[in-house]
Order: sequence, then C-alpha cells, then structure tokens
Amino acid sequence: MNSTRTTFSYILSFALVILVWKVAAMGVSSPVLPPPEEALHAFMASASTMMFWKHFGISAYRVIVSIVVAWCLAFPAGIIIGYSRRIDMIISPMIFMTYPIPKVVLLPVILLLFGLGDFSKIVLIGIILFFQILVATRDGVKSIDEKYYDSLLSMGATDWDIIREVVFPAALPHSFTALRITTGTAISVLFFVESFATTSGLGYMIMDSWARAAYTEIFVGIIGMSILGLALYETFRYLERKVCPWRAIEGEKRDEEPTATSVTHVLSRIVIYARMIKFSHTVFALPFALASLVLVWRIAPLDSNTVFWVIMAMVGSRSAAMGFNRYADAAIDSKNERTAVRELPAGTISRHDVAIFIVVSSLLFVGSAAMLSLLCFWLSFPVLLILFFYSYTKRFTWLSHIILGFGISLVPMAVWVAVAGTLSPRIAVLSLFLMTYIAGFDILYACQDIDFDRQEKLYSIPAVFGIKNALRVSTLLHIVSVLFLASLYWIFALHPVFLAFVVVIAVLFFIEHRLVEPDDLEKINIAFYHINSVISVLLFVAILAGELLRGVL
Amino acid sequence: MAIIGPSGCGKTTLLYILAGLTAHVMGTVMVNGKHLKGPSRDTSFILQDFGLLPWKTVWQNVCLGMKLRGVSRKDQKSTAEALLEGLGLAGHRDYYPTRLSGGEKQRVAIARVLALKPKILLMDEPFSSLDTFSREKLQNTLLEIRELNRLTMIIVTHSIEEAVFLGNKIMVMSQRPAQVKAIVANPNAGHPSYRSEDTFFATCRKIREMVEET
Repeated sequence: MNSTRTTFSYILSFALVILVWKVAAMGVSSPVLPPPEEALHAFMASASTMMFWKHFGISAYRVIVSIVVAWCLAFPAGIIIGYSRRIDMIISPMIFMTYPIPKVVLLPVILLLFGLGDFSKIVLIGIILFFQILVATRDGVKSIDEKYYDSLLSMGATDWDIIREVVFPAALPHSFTALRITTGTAISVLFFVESFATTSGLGYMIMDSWARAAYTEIFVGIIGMSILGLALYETFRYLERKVCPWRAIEGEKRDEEPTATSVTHVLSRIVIYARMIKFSHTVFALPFALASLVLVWRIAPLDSNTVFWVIMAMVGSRSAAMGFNRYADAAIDSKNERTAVRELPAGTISRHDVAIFIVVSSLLFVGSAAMLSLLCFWLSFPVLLILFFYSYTKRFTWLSHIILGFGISLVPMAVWVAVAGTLSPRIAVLSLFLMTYIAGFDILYACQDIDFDRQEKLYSIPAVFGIKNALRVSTLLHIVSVLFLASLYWIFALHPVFLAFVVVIAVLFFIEHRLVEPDDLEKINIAFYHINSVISVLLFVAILAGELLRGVL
Repeated sequence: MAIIGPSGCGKTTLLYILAGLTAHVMGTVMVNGKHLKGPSRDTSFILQDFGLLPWKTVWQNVCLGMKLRGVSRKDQKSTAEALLEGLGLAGHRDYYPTRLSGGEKQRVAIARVLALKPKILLMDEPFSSLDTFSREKLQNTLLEIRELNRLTMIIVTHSIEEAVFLGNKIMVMSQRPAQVKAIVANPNAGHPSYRSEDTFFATCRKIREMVEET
C-alpha cells in the first residue's frame, strides 16, 4: 500500500515538474531553458552513449565512497559520544562549535593537501557528511528512553551488552534518516567539487556544456544528477526498511514521519486529490488517446508538442469531469455506504478546495486545447459542458450509462480533430467501441448500488429494469463493442495481428461477465479495476502493433 | 506482597533499590541473608511500560535475558517455546512489539523474566495500562505462575483491588516523607474466587481507609 502510494506521488510530482517546466520554457522562450520534451529527448540520446555513463559512473563513485566512508566513521563515533557522558562532555562542545562552519571553504586546503584527484573530492564530501551523520546519531542515542537501559541492567547486562542490544539498533534508523536527508547536500557538494579542476563527472559535464553554450546538454547533466540523487535517496529508504523492519510497522501506524513536513504535506494533498478523481483511472484512460494518436498519425504528421498537449488535455478534462462528478454528487455519495468514504463526503477535502480543483483542471483542459488549435479551443467548451452534464443525468434518465460512454467516446474524435483538423467517420468507429464498452461496464458498476438508487429515486438500468435484465443489456453492449473493435481491422486495413488482440480482449470481456453473477456482486470491483486496465492497455498495443506491422508481412 | 501508596511516595524507587539498580543512600538490603550489591541473578524486574525493545521481535525479546546470561541457543529455544506456548503467544513470535496489544506486551514481558527462572519477581504497576477484563485475566495468570514457579512477588500498584487480590501482605506507604504506614496481612489472597468473597471486600475497605488517611 505504502509503496504504491510512493510510486504514485512520484509519478504525480514528475508530471507536475514537467508541466511547470513546460510552461516556464514557453514563457521564457529562449534556448537557455529548453522545453522538457527536448531536454528529455537529448537525455535519452546521451543515455545511449558510453561517454554519459562514464561521467555518471565517476560521479556515482565519488559520492558513494564518500557516503560509505563517512557513515562507517561517523556512526560508531556518534554512538560512543552519545552513550558515554564523559566523552560527550569533552567532544560535543567542539562539534557544536565547528558544526555551523561551512566546510566547503576548506576546499583549497584539501586540494593543497591531497592533490587534484578523486581523493580530495571524496574527502570534502566525506567531511561534510561525517558531521551530519555524527550529530544525528549522537542525538539519536541521547533520545533513547532510560527504561530500556534499566530493563537490561536488571537482567545483569554489561555496557557492551547495552550498546549491542539497545544503543546500536536504536541509533541505526537515526543515521539512515540523516543519510537520506544529506543526499541533497552530498549531490550539491559533488557538483561544487566537480565544477573545476577536473575533466570527468556530471558536474564537469554541466560546466563544460555551459562553456560551450550547449544549453540542452546542461539539462542532460542536470537530469543525470537528479537521477543520481533520487537513486541514492531511494536506496537509503529501502535499506532503512530492510535493516530496521520495526520502523516500517511504526511508520504504517503514524503514516508519515514527523520530520518530513511541508513537502510531504503538499504531496499528501496531491494524493488525496488524485484519489478523489481516481487519477489512476486517467492513466488507464490515456491509452484511448494514445491509440487514437497512432491511427491519426497516418494522415497527419505528429510532433512531440502535439502529443504533450493531447496528454495534458486528457488529464485536464478527465480531472475536471471526475472532480465535478464528486462535487455534484457529494450529497448523494454521503448517504451511500459504498461511496461515503469518498474524500469529499468523508470530509478529507472541503467543497471549496474541490471547486478550485475543478477550475484549475478545466483551465488546463481549455489551455491545452488552445495550444493544439483554435478549433480545439472553441470545441473544448461544449465538451466540458457534456462532461459536466453527465453528472446530472442519473437524476432523470436511465440512459446515464450511455451518456457516460458518450463523454469518454469523445476522446478519439477530439484527438482526430486536434491533429487532422477535421472529423472522419472512420475514427467514429473507435468512439462507438468506447461508448458501448464503457456504458456496458458502468451498468455492471451500477448493479452494486441498485438498492440505494431505488431508495433515492435515482435512475440506472439495474434500478429500473432489475439486475438480470441489466446484465443482459451489458452483455449485449459488450458483444456489439467487440464487433466495432474488430471492424477497425478492415476500416484501417490493420495487420492481422490486431485481430489476435481483439480475440484476447473478447475473452477478457467474457471473463468479466463470468465474474459477475446476479447474487454475487462482490467481485465487481475486481472485475472492474484489473481487467479494464488490461483491456485499455491491450487496445493501445493492438492498434500500435496493427499499425506498425501494416505492410510488413 | 503488594505495595500501595500515593503517587510520589517512592514505591518505584523502592523497587529500583530492591532490583539493585539504584544505590540506596542508607541502610542495607538483605536477600536470603546476603547483602545486595547490584542486580542479582535471582531477581527479575518488570518495568512500568514493560521495557520491551521495539527493534526486537517477540521471540528475540523473550530470549534477550537468556542471551545476556550466556544460555546456550538450544536451551533458549526450548525455554522460549514453552513459555510462549503457555502464555498463548506462540502465533506472535515474529511480531514486533508495536503490533501487540497492551495485554500481549505484558505477557511477553512476563515470559522474558520467567525465562531467567528468578526466585523474586518485582513488578512496577504491571497492569495499569490494561482494560479491566485483560487485567483480571492476567492477574489470574500471574497467580498460576506464582504457584507453579514458587516465586516471591513484589508488586507496586495504584489499585486497591489489585493489591488485595494479589498480595498476601499489603504494605501501605504514606505521603512524603515516605514511611511504611502498615503491613496488612491478607492470608486469603491467591485464588481467583477471592474476588467475590466477603473478606476481599472487607480488606479492600480497610486498605482504602488507610490510604485515604495518608
């Protein structure tokens, strides 16, 4: 659970960084700040050269050796200083006096003493880390509760026993936390020592690109350093969990460490929003847009800018629609046992926050559409209206499932308009597939709420026609949707491998319907989440393979 | 023996002195005719919040005392297995203490000291953090353990009922400067059924009057 949450926040913050970067790059509009896709492209190109990995390897070597040596010296020293009151009284004043002095200023002295090679770089990074780990370990030992000492003493423990059984394991997580937090410092000092008197390492790479005014290459170095830092940070976190397994359990209880404040606070807010709009489902809806891009590729050229703004428009529209749905239905959701735990009715987020979220998402959608073309910009407003309108349909018609399907089926047509500038009846077939597919499983979903919907006088096919009939309608819709999907083979003259994928998708539909039985609706959530995500990815792979292999065999 | 008295009267300090953890300022402690200098092998002490090490599993915590005394691994294993089984903790051996309930933690702490086969068991408010039901259950368990191992138990408590239920002798201490106010004999203690006997309530009333006077 925790690790999926972390992966999740990583993906989100990555997306956020890319977005801010993109906007900033457009604002600055100068070669000094290249757009993210250009920098990432250059990075990928560099990553396939030996030269880049040589620099990366040398930087990694310098910083890892420094960290290992610093820890091996500072951790035992911290334990001794923390445990022995007498040594603490002598040494601590010295440490605290030298602690605030910025050790980077020692660089010239160290260079004179140890030469220009790797050794002096390692020494400087090492000294800085040494102090951080030492102080954290010492404070960690000082904070150990006396009762642990007493409990061991009463069993006749010696000093050595206490250090081994109490002080060492208690201080270990503190030293790891220090390592994790100092990663940033270590990388900064690494850049500093590599910025002159050397011809290797990522720091050199950045400075060298700067001197040559190769602006995109600067970012290759920056991305490299970020990856190095991130990898170290995650390694320490992983080691901390492995070496201190009892901490993981404490962490589950407290959810977040008290030391991590504002950053995790922001991240956790983002995660709450993401959960509200089921952002993970957006990731699963993306393949629809990507599949449409593959199909439109044939008649119009694609560039990275278009792909980027299509994805942004997708994220924006989906977030706005989902946020609005939660907003409009908050009162209904709070009465239904199944949905009362949702973020808005449960009070995790306020209505005001959700309203702001909807506005921001809508702006992202309209803005992205504007970046694609003027026509897209004008069309984005009726699309938003349709998406918002869906939320109200279940109040007066059992066709609400179809309206939802229609809303999502706009994706392929919108992509077509964005890239080709016109509409085509051919792409409408993909839309029809999506509409019948999504309407079909929305009916399955609604089966869970049949009692609630009847009681609240809400319209859905299960509530109006009964579960048995609803399952029949859903099966029928899915049969039709497989037929639409298969027909794409002829319409777009795709490679026969596409049909093989269609068979697999049809089998998945079949399994989905077998999982759901009129008297056992428990499995709907599983049927929904896992199989649908597989189907959506398969759809993309099917169309991609069908298109790429076309004319090959 | 149960020790009862107002907060801050030195009950815990007394236990620390008996455990050999605090040097006594005046007087001497005699255990079986010998002067006490530092922690003794025959005495075990369960601290107020049990003193379980959070970084050790239930199993490692139970084996800790034996490990410190150099008991062989084979003997550690057989002793710990028998104790965990007897205290109903066999399924929790690989848990870390944070995952245990208060009652389970207390049973682990009891297992840890029993593994050392002590003659005297000192306990500092052992059940204060538990709910009534687990407390009474563990009190019964404690009585069984005492009978089985022929232990001398000295227990510090805030609860009059607990003192009367567990203590064959009840020592009442007074407010600072701490003094022993009385030692009340309570010969009927030691059976689970004592809780509903008239003498139990009578003794409770008597002790309550004494405590309130202080």
